[in-house]
Amino acid sequence: MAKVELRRVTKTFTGGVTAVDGLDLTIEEGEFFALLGPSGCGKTTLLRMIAGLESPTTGTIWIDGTDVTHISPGNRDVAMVFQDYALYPHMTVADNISYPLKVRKVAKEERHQKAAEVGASLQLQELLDRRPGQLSGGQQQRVAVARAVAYEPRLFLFDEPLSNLDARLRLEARTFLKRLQKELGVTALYVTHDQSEALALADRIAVMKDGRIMQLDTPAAIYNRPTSLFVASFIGSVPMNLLSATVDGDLGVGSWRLPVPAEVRGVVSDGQEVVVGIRPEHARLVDGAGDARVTGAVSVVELLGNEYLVTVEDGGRQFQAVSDAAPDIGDRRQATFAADRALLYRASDGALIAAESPAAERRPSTA
Amino acid sequence: MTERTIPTVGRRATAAFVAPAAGLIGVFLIFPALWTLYLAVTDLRLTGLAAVEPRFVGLQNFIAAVSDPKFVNSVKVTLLFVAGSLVGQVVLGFTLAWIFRGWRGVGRRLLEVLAIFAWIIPGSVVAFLWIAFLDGTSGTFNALLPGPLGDGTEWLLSYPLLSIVMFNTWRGTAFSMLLFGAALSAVPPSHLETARLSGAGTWQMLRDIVIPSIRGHVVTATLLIALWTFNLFTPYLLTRGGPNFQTDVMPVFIFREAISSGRLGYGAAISAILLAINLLLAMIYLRMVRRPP
Amino acid sequence: MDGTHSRPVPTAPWPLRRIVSRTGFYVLVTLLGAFFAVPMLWLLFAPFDVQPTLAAEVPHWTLDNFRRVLENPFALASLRNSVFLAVQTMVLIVAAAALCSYALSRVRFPGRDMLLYVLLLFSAVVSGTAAMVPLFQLVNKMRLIDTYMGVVLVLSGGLLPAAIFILKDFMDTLPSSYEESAIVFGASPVQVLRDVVVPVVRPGLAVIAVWALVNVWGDFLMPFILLRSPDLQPGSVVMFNFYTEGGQANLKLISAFSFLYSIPVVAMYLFVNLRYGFRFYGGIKA
Repeated sequence: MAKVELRRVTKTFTGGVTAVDGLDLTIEEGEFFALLGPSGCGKTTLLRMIAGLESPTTGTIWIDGTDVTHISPGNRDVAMVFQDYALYPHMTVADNISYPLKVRKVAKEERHQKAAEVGASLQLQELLDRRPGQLSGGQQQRVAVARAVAYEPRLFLFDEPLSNLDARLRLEARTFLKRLQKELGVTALYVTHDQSEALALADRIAVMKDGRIMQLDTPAAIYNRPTSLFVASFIGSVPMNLLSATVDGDLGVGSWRLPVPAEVRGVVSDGQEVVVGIRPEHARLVDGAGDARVTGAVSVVELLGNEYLVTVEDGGRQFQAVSDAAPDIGDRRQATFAADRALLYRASDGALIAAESPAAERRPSTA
Repeated sequence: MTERTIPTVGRRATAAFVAPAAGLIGVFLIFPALWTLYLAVTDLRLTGLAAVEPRFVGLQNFIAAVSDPKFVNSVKVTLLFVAGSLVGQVVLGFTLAWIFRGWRGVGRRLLEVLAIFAWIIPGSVVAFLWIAFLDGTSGTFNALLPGPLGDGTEWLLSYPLLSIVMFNTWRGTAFSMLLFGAALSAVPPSHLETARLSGAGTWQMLRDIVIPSIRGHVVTATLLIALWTFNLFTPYLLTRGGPNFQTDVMPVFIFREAISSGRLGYGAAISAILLAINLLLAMIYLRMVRRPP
Repeated sequence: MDGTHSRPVPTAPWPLRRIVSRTGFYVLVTLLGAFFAVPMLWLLFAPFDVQPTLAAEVPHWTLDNFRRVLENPFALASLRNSVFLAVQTMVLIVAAAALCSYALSRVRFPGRDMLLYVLLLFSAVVSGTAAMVPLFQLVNKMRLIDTYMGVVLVLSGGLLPAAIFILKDFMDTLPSSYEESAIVFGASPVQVLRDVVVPVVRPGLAVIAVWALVNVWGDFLMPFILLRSPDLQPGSVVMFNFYTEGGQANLKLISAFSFLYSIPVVAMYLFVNLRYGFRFYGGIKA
């Protein structure tokens, strides 16, 4: 159970690449914290610095109130689960799980005991005598986690541990990891590029880009109120509708006229260039007249399981909404949504326009 | 993208890891190469005054070499030896690799193993095997040859250069066999099948598809075998350079001049020449390997 | 394909042509087989023959010749010397190459791969033969003439670049996450090397060890010029001495000795071939 703090941490590699740029971050005790972002955003570098495998160029790292910036990885009481699991092929599952204890020079009896215990808690009891090469991907993943658990660290570090599993297994493993972390109550830091994973697992998420945190918030807040275009387009299994518009009384998007959300009415001015964001899940296809906002010809219909994702087009512009019934391709249909579900972003820097933000540019929010 | 240091050890330990190998290579490989050039321009000898106080003699050794008929002979012999071995080893090696294509039987394994045995049995032993094989009176070679050819011919005395070429072909074919084997297995079977379906015969396939594909490997094999053969000391074990210097390849010549006769400076000059030849071959090899086929 | 221009359908001629080409194939194979096998027959027959000659003839079986070898002080000692020499060199090469290739595999610096490749070519260019003069003089100056140390050092220097080259490839296949996970668990460098690195690269170490052993076992030139005392000579030199010393060659001794001297290398090759296969995958790579 540990609290992790990063103070002004920067990492520059030789050749001038800045992987992490002046980052401040606090992770609370017992939290399941996700670092989310595209490849190259610095999330793995950050994780490795907390593990001690890389050193920050400037800044300090604190675990439980102690400055660990210059403490070697082995002395930080941290366990890391790698993307390729790093299971030692020449050792049995039991030996792999108990390896951290062997390093601590724990007696053989005790080691095996512990390995059996931890193995059982992760449904590995049948496999203790096998070699990693004889296990399936999902089983290997559990062994890697078991090894970290056996170490009884104060902090878990996960580096995209599920990305080598196929889709079905990934979902199962996700649930299992979440339950495990809640049971153990140990602080966990989880790196992923999969936004659905982060939303499902984390208590809080830091969305990163180019070495900086773009938004740090709970999953719900990030999903419902992304504070930048980057986060808005990154989050959501189905991409958010992002439409360039000009403020002119209401919002003009080509032939579509959309209402300005009540919240920001006082803040925008005529002539301003904005981007309107509406999640397809919040927009429905309607029949006949009504509060029609967007009209177009149906071009694509995709089944999402319990409803359909319909794409309508008009004058080169596309809009996606959901529908219970599948319309015919080519039909002219209308999609409607509640005005306050729409989010407005400044076209100039992608920042969210909100009631409390004046016309001046605002830095993306950090907690 | 990520710079890696050995996570296991620090920067200083890394140097310690590399040091032993670096030291050995530096002292016993790189230094001697450079020192050859120095020795070549002195009159150093193993014994006598020149051993204790060698003098700088400029290019004297080199001039002496070029005017030394034995040296010229040695170069000639070596070139013939290399050429003969090359042709033999490449042709045989390729033939073996070719007939091994798709042949998985016991016969193939046996043949392969025999070729490799010839390559790995220690040099002193194979040298004697061939001395026995080529013996005039009881040699098996004569026993197999028809009529007058096999009638008591002392091969190592009458046809020494031919004998060592035969010997070296026998000895080294396995290398090109393995090399071409790997090269042929890299030719996509679909190319060959397409050709076969179009009615191409074996010779046509060889000419039009296979050889162009493996051209790079032929060059590689040629250069490596040449490099190897130039530096081969084994003929000494068969003929000691004779009879009458007819098999006096450069390695044997150097040995005799430098070590046996003690003319270290002169021997160094010849060595420098041999090193230069080696270097030339290596450069050509690098060039060929860099250029895309 | 135009239907009017069809290929001639082969009928009677084909079977004959196949028979001829098949026969030709078998003849070729037999010839090649004989080419390689016949010179080696002597090694198979003569050691077991009561009265061996230079011809390869089916022997009157006996094991007496081996007794002669065992009784000959030089013969047995030389085999033992070959073992000493080969094992010492092997140990030095494996140790130095393992450390060096591990470091080179994990640390990246500009020109690393080029450097290795250049060194490899360098070791082919500066062969023992081409450098025999400076090597002799060097060992002389170091007062290591007539010692095993001298031979071991020289041979190691020549064989190391290739050993490192090969071993580095093996090291590269070991993901660094293996060591990193162990480090995060608190393992010391020694523990990491012992528990994680060495067990995984063991096959590579085995390859290098065998290759070094085989190279040293058969090496003639270096022991020949660097060793003086008769009791230090390894098998390669003693073999040569046996058949070049004056007088009638003692074929009983020579045959049995060459057999014994060849066995270890042949056995090792068969072992490696059966266990791991023996191919140059993809040929010599740049």
